[in-house]
Amino acid sequence: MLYRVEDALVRALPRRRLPIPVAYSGATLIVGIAFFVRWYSKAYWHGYTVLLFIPAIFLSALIFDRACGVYATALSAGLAGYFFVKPIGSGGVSAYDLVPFLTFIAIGVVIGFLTELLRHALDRIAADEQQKDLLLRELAHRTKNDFMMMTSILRLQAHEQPQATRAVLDAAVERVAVMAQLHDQLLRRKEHAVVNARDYLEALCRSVSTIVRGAQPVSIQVTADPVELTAETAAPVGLIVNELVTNALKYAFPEGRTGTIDVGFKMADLETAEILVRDNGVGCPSTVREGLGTQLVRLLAKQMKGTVTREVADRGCRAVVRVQLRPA
Amino acid sequence: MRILVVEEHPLIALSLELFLADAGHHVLGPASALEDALFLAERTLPELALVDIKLVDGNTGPAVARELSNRFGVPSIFISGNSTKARINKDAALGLILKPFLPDTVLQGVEVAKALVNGGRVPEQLPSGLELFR
Repeated sequence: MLYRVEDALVRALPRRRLPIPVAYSGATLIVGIAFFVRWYSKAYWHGYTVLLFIPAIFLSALIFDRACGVYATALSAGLAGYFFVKPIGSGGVSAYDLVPFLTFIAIGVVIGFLTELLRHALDRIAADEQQKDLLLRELAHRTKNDFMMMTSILRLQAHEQPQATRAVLDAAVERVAVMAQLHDQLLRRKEHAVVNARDYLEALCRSVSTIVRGAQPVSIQVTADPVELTAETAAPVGLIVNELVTNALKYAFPEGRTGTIDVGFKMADLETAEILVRDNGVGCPSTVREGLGTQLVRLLAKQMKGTVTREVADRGCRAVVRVQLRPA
Repeated sequence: MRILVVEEHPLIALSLELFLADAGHHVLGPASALEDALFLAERTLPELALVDIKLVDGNTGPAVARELSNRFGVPSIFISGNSTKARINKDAALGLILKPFLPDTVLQGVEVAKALVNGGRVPEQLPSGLELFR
């Protein structure tokens, strides 16, 4: 949570040095506000002539720079000296008040310098964060290019092969594409790369729809919790969904039947996610042939300490995979 | 449709060429740099160009798309993994196909481009990985 507050602070500060007139007018305004507050609530401040000016100096130095902090100190000293320090209205300071008054000026100057250092540190943190984001994007971009090369080579290999061989290679390409898609959606959260489960699964099912469009009049609906998954957990989740959906497309809608496949992803509790793929086709096959797809689902679920169940739904078939996620 | 393929990488270009040809398109190129692309377009006028952002001579894809449009009135679709650079150059192309692409996305994208140019109807659900700029 602290991380968010820091972030907000860094974002609230102006990015670039403001032009000198703007900076000094700003500092004047801040000191002015402190002065008027002090002036109109005189009765409550007794001997504390300069206390309220300290935050004004700090703010001026934080928002602008140390020169503005020093300027704010000088302005505050002048205003306080003239209006609040006895003898009032003389502009002078009696020997009685001299030591606290000079200490105030020294503190103001030191605040000005220290705040600028703090500001630099914050700027550097922000720059580092941006650098990390840039690196992640660059890496994702390269990874996508590598995936593109892999799938191109596989497709070249598939070309002019008999239909059966082609189908096998197409399935391989599609599995690679599921992993590739993940890299499109990676976001950085602190030290982890994460994806939003809803965005990822929607994009994934859209690709599957694109592939089957025309060939099969089946629509795919996704209902997913927008939880953030680490890249390591999202990849198997994506593969499981891909296999289950592909499977449903293969068996549930023979002879050009129309239908719907519902894909769900929700958190059953903090660490358990439930992946649901339900179709309204011809029903579950009585014996599940252990094809590569089914085997993949089983192995990936096992890797995630999960379970796979398949049952007849009111219409069609319903597969539920429960897996353990390590929180992002 | 006569389609000019402008792509840096020969393998990706070849696979594009093969499945576009399988779908009955006439493929020009592939070109891998600004000069080649314009030379090819001048020799045989394409109806559409598929243009990668990064080419052999640098990030010249957007320049290719602009020249094709200004000189020959040929519309382009970017094909790139770099969505940021593509989106900066929205004015130059009809849209973007993200890499890694599905062949179906490219084929359906070509149909969408045809519809856009001829003032036809653009499908409600765009193929995955296709983004339109206009």
